[in-house]
Amino acid sequence: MQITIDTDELKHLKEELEVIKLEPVAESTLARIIQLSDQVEKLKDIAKEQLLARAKELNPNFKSWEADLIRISMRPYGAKYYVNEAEFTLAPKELFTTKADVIAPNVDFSEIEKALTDIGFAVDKTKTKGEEKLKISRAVDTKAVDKWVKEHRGMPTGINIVPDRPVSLSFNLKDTDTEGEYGE
Amino acid sequence: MANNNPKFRASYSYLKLWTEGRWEEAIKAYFKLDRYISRQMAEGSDYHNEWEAYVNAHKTLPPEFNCLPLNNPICEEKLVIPVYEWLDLVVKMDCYDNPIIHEFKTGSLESSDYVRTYQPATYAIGNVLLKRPAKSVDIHHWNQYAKKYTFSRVVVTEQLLTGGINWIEAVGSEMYSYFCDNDLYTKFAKPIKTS
Repeated sequence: MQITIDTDELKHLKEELEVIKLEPVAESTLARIIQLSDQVEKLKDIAKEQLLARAKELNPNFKSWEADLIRISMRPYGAKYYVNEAEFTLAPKELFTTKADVIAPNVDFSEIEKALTDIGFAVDKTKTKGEEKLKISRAVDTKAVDKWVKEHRGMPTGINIVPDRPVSLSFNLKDTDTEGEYGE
Repeated sequence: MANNNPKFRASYSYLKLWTEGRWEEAIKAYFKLDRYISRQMAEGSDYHNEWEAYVNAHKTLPPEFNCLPLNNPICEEKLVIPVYEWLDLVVKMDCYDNPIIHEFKTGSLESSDYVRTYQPATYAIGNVLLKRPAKSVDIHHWNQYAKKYTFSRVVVTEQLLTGGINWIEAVGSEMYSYFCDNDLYTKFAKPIKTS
């Protein structure tokens, strides 16, 4: 793969964009911008792949690296905790919620809401796409569990840490992130 | 800033308390008047003692940190570094293994949460002023609750050192002025030693 970035070309493209019109002649300028953007994305992908390998070599438990300009960090994504169904009755109820999509009779919404409320179910008012099957899921309140862990010095029964959460490596300019002590 | 008061002995922990607006705690800590030790602090201290013994015995990082090999580690060495006529910097690193400074942490945070503090810069400055190599500050964090180890590295650069010394000087001079203006060295007169 050959990647060439001509800064004169970038300057020229900028000049063209400043006077661009909705005419076919604009296509080549716009197409070139997309091509350049794709090339930069490819460079970033290569950088991430190589940095990930170097980070794992440095330390298999690598979390972050930084010098003056750039911060490289591993960020896990997806749920941090899950409810262990075998022990869910023991799990503190304030730490998670259970949601179910139900198939209701074709009656007025207020009737459905009343029927569910009468049996003690809180009705979620968020609009969602209709589904033809019963869906039940549990969502753990991550912040509440983090707080619990800190206060109780251990995990609550019935709630487990998701093992091997997927992680992604990112690198960013440090001055775009002003949280923490340096930003105060 | 010359006066008849003792030199100000700046350590990261005092400066941090002051920066956070925890002035009373900073004063009590500095003059050794009273020190609240939380359960988490005590537990962290136990881990540190255990790790110090392990590193000294095995010349590797402790098992929680995958027993990564070290060359000639020096643990818990207290450095008192003259910076200015009025200021000494006191640094006590968990482990120095030329040219790497290793800092051990426990608790529910992660190693990257400590990267943006001035602690790495403060420790690096202590070594650089003593003309000891300091290439990076490696933060090893053990979350004892989740049994999870995370690692972060801060590279020692001129910019890091400059930012750090500016912070030490700015916060230190404010603290020292307050101590002198309020005659705290007389009020709490006793030999001052920074742990």
